[in-house]
Amino acid sequence: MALDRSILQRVLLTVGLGLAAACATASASFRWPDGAVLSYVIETSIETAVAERVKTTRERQRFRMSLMGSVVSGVRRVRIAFDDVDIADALLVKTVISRTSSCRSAAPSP
Amino acid sequence: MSVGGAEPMIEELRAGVVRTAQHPLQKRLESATLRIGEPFTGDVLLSEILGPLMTPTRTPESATRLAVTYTGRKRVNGGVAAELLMSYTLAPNTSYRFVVRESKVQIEVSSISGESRDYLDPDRYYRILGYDVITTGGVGVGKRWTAKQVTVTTLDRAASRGI
Repeated sequence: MALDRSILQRVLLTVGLGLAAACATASASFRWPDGAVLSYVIETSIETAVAERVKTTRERQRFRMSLMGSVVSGVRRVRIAFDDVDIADALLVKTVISRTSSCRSAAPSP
Repeated sequence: MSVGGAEPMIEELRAGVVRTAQHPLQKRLESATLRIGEPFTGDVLLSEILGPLMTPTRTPESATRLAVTYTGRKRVNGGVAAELLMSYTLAPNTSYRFVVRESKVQIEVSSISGESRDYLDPDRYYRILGYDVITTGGVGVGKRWTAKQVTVTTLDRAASRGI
């Protein structure tokens, strides 16, 4: 059974997303005005080494958060997309992500 | 980082984000007053936010310390931004088991560290620019492995609206 590099990338994704979110102060704290869209370019370099065999990959992706309107007073629905594929809706209450729901199951291939 | 090809994992990550958002440390951070040069610190059990993808190999689980430091306002990309430095390191002698369900692979993650520099609009708090570095390591399928990810996140003003 091989130690696939995609598995190591998955570890990075899991740790990075979890711990970055634990310190999240940025977009979730944004005071969303009507029609607001935050669009980001994400450039990633990943170096993996398995038993001294080193491989480096680079990726460039786009991350977008769009205000989809208010659900109830004070609660905003924000759509999250990677590379123009919607992956989730987040409900933002004040500065807290209270719940996420699946928006579209389709996702880009690795 | 691609997220495709593993819908159950996306669901688990999504659940992890929700758990993180609801974590007491997150609520403390939101209400904290960050003073220049004074780190905000907190301890978190990774299994609380990354489980069941990652489970501790030893009990009781050791907490991982996170620190956020506001260093003041800096000039970045032609504007002024608030600079936040964040860091975390896995406690010594701590390791986790990472499970990939579809392949039945289990690997040990015994080192985790991360640093990031976050530049926020000082008035509206959205991210203008970010640098993130995550380093992990361990043993899997009998081989030592390390992985390092460097990410640069840049606000695309031309594609953004309402900011």
